[in-house]
Amino acid sequence: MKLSYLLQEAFRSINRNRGSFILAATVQAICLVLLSVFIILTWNLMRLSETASRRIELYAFVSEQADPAQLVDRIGSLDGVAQARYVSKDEALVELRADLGPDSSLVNALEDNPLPPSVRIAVRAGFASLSELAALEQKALLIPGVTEVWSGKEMVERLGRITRTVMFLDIGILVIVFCAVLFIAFQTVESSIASRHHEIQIMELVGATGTTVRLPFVIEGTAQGFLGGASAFVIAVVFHRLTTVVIPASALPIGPVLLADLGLGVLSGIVGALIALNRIHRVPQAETAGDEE
Amino acid sequence: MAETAAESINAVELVGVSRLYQHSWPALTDVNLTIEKGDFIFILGATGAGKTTLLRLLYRQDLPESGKVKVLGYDLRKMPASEVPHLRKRIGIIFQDFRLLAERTVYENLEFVLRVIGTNRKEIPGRIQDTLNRLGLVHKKDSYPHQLSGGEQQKTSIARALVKEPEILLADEPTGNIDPRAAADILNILKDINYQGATVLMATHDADLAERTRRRRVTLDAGRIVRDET
Repeated sequence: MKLSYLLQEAFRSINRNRGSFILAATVQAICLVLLSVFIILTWNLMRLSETASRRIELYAFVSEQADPAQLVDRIGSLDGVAQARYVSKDEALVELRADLGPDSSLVNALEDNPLPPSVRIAVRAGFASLSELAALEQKALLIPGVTEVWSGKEMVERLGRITRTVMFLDIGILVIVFCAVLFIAFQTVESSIASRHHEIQIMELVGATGTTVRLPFVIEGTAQGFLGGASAFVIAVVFHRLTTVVIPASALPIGPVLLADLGLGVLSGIVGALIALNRIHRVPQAETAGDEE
Repeated sequence: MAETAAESINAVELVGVSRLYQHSWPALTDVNLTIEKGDFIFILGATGAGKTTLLRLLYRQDLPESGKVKVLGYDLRKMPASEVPHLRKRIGIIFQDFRLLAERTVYENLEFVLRVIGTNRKEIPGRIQDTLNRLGLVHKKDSYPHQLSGGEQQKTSIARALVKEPEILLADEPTGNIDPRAAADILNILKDINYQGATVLMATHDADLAERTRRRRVTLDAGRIVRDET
């Protein structure tokens, strides 16, 4: 049996049921777009979390009487510290003014500079786990002259929690979307088989092999999944373009989104078609007394 | 699965075949029947006598509870499902209700069969043309089934069975849905097919038709063979 003929038969069937085919592919696309959006969201959250971890800076507030050079030396020698930099009270005030921008006049109202001097600690790359930050915080606190340490580990912890939750959601959505697209593919092929029941019966009776009977339906399911997946990918890219207006730094993970949309679409098409064939293709074989004269 | 040519002199061999429907109602009981290659045989009987069941066993649409069914040397009870297409390629089947594909023309109905059984594409037009010529359907080749008379539809159904050059032709009440004149025409076509070498089994309830033809007649009654006359 030539592949060209099987393709011709598959597309003949698609053309015959094009309304339901397009509708099913559209619903599949909508489901896959939902998944794509979550993938984009997770990807960006992971990026954000990673960037935040990489850029993490600890603030060791120190007493005004302590020797800055000695503090920088001791803190700089702690495990995991990439760089330690002393920031005097005056420098801290300048930074605050810069941060406040137009509202910096508020600072002028202050009679004294209330900001303490500090040592800014940049951690080594890859040294940002919660336990590592907590240990560094404790060690810095033990150094004479250090009054308080702010490590920002709460922020890392919160970002990590959000990323994990979203990833769990992703897995849940992946499962739900796969079941949904699988069901849609199954339904389409099932109705296609039902509408071609007579033709299938003739094929079987004249001696067509199982592959010849089944392959056009598998091609049909695959084509539908591909169309749904490709449409979902295009919609996801457009969606991402639109969001960059609001969040310019957001990234589009082309590979994972493409893989999820096309892979899941095609896979669901093939599996859905095979399930439908296994359930319905047996109907002619199961005919018994009903066909008796 | 199939025996060698020397062993296989019979087209059909049924030994002690019984088939129950819904585990109790006997559709066929202890049927013994041998049909040699090249025979023309009528399977006679009233509605519900077991004619269709018998034919269904021969193209392995159904399997008996007991007994042996051999067709063209294949032992059908031992035949795996994957080999059924090989058997069916060698058998032509004709139904009372024609079972033509409504959205395809006469030509396309025949072409469909040849394409799905993997016939070389170059051979297809010639084989269809020969078959349509043989059945006098050339002028109807572009007609759809609904544009044909009952007799023409049955001829198309025969053409569809014949185009793959079967060794056995199973006809289930082929004259049941057509007028007497068309029925006589169909019968002549079947006789001609048999004359060309194919074994023909024709199930019918029309005993008069069978008697006029003077061929072997096997009569079924309540699933049992009650008469076997030549």
